[in-house]
Amino acid sequence: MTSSRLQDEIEHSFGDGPAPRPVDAHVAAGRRALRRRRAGVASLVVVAAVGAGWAVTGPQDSGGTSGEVATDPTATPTPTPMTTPVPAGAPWTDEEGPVRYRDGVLEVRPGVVVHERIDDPYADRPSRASTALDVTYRGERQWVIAELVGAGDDDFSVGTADPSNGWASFADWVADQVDANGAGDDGWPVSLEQDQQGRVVATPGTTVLDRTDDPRLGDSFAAPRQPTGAALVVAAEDGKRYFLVWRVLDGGLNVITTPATRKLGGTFEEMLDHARAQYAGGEGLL
Amino acid sequence: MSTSSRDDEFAAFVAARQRHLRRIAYACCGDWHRADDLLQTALVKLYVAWPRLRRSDNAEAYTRQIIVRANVDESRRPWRRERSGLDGVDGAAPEGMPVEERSALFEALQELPEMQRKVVVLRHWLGLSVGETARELRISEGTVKSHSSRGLGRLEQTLTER
Repeated sequence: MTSSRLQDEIEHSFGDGPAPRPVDAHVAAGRRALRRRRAGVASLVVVAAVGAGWAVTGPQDSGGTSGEVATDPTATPTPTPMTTPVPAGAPWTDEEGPVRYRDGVLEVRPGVVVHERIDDPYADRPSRASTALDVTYRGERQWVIAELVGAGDDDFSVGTADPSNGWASFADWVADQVDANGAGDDGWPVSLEQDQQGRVVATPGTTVLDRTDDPRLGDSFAAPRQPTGAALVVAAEDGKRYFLVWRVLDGGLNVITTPATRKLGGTFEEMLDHARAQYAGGEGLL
Repeated sequence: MSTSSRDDEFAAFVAARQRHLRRIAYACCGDWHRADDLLQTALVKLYVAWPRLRRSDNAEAYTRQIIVRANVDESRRPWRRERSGLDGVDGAAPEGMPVEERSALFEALQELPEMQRKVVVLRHWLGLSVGETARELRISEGTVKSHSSRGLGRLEQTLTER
């Protein structure tokens, strides 16, 4: 079968299917996503305002039936202690995580501190409910998205991630999960791209202050013959300095972006040393 | 840019290219409802990135890339796998056009492993080069050639046997 014939055959092998969604629906969905991305962060006050059945805390880590809304000293400049009545519910089991559903309402395990919340991230899907939370659970900060899928309270999924430089913010992580595209939109400015020849180049407007294509970040970062690099740039998008390390995986560019703070070092060499140590220790820059 | 301007430009793009992009999604997944979900996922992301992409005149390639990658990545994400029975993503029978209206070629295409199918769609339907296909799917050019060869071989075999 020739290529052109195959092209024609595929072209004519199916029609247009049922009516597509209206253009306005796509515009509206895009607007909602943009609002979520911009607003992103819901403060503790919003969490409390939602009312019963949400965030509770107490001295114990299970079985709580009432208490105060968990406070996050970093979430608001002037955290306001608030007491929210919480309905009695079944004790929490060890198998349950930081959240669960009861009667279709999301419950947060007593003792879990809610820092930020984004409502209904999966509004465009047919699930019954969904909520994204930035929490501290058992002493560990976690990003969580809960989605109630089916008719029963047990028919839900929970996805979690450790907060990291992998995404610029909790809101960016949520947006990335919602988009489910894996295209690497991590919320950081896009400072590098591949040109037509597959070379890694700066995006238009990005200023490269320093760069090496031999950062020697070790095997935990990339296999020996995989193309890698590092650069210190000023991003066109926000004019801020970022330290970037990259690797080309299966032909695709994977860039890890870190704000160039003093923690990384004062010079490019110090930043490289920091990155080498992070990858040698297995932690990486994310 | 203003919201109104963004909306107008985005709507014009969707109106002009939705049919083509939707068919790409359908070719990748073989299910119109799933294709609509894929397209919406891609268009939502496009809307967010619109100010950047409209300048580079790259909106269509960007959207197509999301469609083909999203479909790949859906099965890679552990917590996506936790979901069940939602919207046909658990392998339920493809919906859309009645089976008898779909050609033997399309049926054979859908029987290919996912990556082979996508390579065939990108290379031999959309006419992308080996390099472009490799970048689109984030695989090496050698892998593209391998999938292309095997995919075409299996298509020929399947169609011959029918």
